[in-house]
Amino acid sequence: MSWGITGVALRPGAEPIDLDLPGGEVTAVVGGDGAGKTSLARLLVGLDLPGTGTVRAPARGALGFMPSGSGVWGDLSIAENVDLVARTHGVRPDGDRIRRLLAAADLDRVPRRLGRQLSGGMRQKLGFCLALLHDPELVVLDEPSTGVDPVSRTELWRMITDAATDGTAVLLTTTYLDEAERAGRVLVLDRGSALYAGEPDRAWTAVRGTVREAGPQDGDALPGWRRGRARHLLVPGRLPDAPVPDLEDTVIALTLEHRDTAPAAPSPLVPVTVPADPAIEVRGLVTTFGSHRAVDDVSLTLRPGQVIGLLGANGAGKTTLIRTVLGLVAADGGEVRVLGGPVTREVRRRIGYVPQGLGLSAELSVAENLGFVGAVFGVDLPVPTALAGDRDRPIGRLNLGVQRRTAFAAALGHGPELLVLDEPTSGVDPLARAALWDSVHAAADAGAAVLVTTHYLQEAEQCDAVMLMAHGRVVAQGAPAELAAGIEAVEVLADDWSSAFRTLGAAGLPVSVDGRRLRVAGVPLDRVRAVLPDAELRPVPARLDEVMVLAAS
Amino acid sequence: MILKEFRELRRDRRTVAMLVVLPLLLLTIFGFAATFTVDHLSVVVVGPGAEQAEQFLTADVLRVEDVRPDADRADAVADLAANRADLAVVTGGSVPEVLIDGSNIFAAQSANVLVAQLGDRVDSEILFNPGLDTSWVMVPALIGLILTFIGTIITSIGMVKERAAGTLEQLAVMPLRPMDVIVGKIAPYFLLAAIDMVLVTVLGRALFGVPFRGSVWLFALAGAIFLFLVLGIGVLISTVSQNAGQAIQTAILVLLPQILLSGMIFPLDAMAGGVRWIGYCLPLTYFIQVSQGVMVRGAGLDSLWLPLVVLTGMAAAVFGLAIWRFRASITPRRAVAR
Repeated sequence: MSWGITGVALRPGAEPIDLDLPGGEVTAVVGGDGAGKTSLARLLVGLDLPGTGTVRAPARGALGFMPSGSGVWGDLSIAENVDLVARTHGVRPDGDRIRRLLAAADLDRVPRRLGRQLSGGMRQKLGFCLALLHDPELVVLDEPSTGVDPVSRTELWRMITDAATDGTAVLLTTTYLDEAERAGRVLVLDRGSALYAGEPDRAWTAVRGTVREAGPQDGDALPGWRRGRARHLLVPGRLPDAPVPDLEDTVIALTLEHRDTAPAAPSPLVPVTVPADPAIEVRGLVTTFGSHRAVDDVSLTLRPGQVIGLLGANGAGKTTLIRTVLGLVAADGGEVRVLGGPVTREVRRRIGYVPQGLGLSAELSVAENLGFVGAVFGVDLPVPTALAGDRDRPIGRLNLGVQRRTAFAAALGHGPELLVLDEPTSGVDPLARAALWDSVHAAADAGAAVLVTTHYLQEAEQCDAVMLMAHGRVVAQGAPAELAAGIEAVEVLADDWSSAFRTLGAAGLPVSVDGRRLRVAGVPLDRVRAVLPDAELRPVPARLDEVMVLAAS
Repeated sequence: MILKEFRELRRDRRTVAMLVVLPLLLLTIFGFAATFTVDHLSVVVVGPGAEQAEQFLTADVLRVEDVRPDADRADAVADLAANRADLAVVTGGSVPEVLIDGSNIFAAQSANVLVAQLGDRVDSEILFNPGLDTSWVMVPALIGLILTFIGTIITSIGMVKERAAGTLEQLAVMPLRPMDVIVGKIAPYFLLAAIDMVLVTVLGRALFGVPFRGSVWLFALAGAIFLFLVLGIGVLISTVSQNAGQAIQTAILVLLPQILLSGMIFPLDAMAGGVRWIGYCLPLTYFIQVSQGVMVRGAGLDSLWLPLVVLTGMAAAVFGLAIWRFRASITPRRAVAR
């Protein structure tokens, strides 16, 4: 039978949702913080019971679950984790299937390493193996790839695809739209309601209006959002020959239509007096922790008005680089000049910083948090109109999007010449992400230099230049479009994609899944042809995540 | 910066509780409870000359509880062992004999002073703890304290860690019954705490020469009941805490009154009425009564049944509540339908 839900409301008052989860198919549930992704996952695995409607899920013995945060026991070794879960399910921990699973995850070489010693990517892979040990009919993965570097994410996706080709029904939740594009089916959630359910490349058909790029004739009246240097608009009515919007634009448009709102305008900005010197000048920077070189010979020049994105895995050195630039970590070598000199307290006054943890006090209200930051910088920080409804509620009780907007307002309020953002958009829905990027671009337009880290690769297009980091080093840099230049990928269109996937994988080629198409990056077309003589192959430009995987390996 | 800190503190109820409760607790304790001086000694008088002897016991601190001419020395010893009196006067010999319960250090010291004033007119003997050794009464009490410590702090941290790591959800989804999860989580701590109890008891005997006069089985029974109780407290703490920091904070709030008001440091009898009643609500108080009774005085079930019954009642209530709350946290809840 097919698993899924029928007529289930994810929260009181929300429209009931139907969703089928057929075996052999990967279904991605996308949405931001508070969209209802985790609620759906908990309902499917029986952690919660539905208020209305029915949930069709197998018995616990045939159900796999990976909670957000991996569900790996940190104080148990890999082997002990596997042992515990296998025995609970009454499966032999050394069976053939489990051995293959661990080998595919590359976890079989270090069976005695403790869960908490694993890197984020390894831990998620182990969590995935644990959910799959007993060969479940339905496996539910709650944010399996959040905080995972692009390389491990690709490997994780390969394992997920592998499980689906075995006939397992897979449901995963994610905030990354590029992952949703790879899934066979997608469910887009917003505030507990379904905006779209179906194949990802048909999602645009659900948009009632039309998404198009803004031209000089367009005023500010139409709802719009920034995509890099361009501005995209949602206009009412379906125009006949408008280009098909990508999933990012589609989801933003669907969210706007569903909420019946316009995107909030970015907060007004204090104009910046633009200095001639670069805002950040770093030469040959080395930062070490013990014997570990967290930042290894990195050079970087950031000019006023420029947005540079730092991309890389967890532990690639992004955050350490930022912290060194801000003077929070001492450099062990090289030269760092920020706003014309070393980072003193005076210089810090001219910097706006949004740390990963946001740096807000969870127990204070929006107004109190802004009041505190304003008092520190000696400026008056009014609550932005977009946040007025939440001004007196404690930050800790608000959703992530509002928290991040508050952190932005706090960092931008004193008109900083340099804006440093550490993963500013992780976890928020596409509309909130667009609003945050609007604020970033507005600051850059006003003359601020912006340094931003992300491991959401699609955000690279929002930057003027990106630096790819791996193991503390810069492995590639340049304008987003330049990075993929010269690297080929091959798209494979096969009738039976799952057997093609296995054949390519067995031949040792780095195959990944994109909906029902397969991709092989960094390998000449002839080699793919040799493995799959009958499939339809065509060369395509490499994606940034493929560039990243190739650069890091 | 200062204003911000105050605002944050105001919203953190646990810290506010610590800020308010700790000073109040310390003040009450050191104001009303922290007295080593004993203002009265309860006495039983036995033997043929009991009624005459009672006339001599005029000192203010003495409070004669019972006069029994037909009882003998053995009965007096039994009365002391059962903690019915602090000292006993045995008449019928050439001079009256005063028996002092040495397991109640401070009372025994006061009694000793009185006896010394009487000089040769009486014989005296300190029973149970002839050297008036503090360690003899502290070690049995410490056993209780150590169990409380392991039960509340270690258990609650162990439980909270699983919740914070999200692995509790993993367990809740696997084919395990809620009871399997609960027993699996608690049994190791029960075992470890039991081993600790044996270790401290054996070490206490070896290092300080603390006697063990009563029944090992009675002691083990009390230990097991008490363990259920403190593990229950630990589990309860874990169900109201989101992280280890909160668990420790809450555990300290539960632990501190037990250390100070259980009669371990300050004698309960010497405390002011209100504070003493707090002491009577704390489980450690009763465990100490049993452990000191069994180890030092060799008391039996006939005199220790009351604290044992109280402990059992508390254990059933707390452990039951803990299991119920924990169970509720790992079984599905129905979403609110509208």
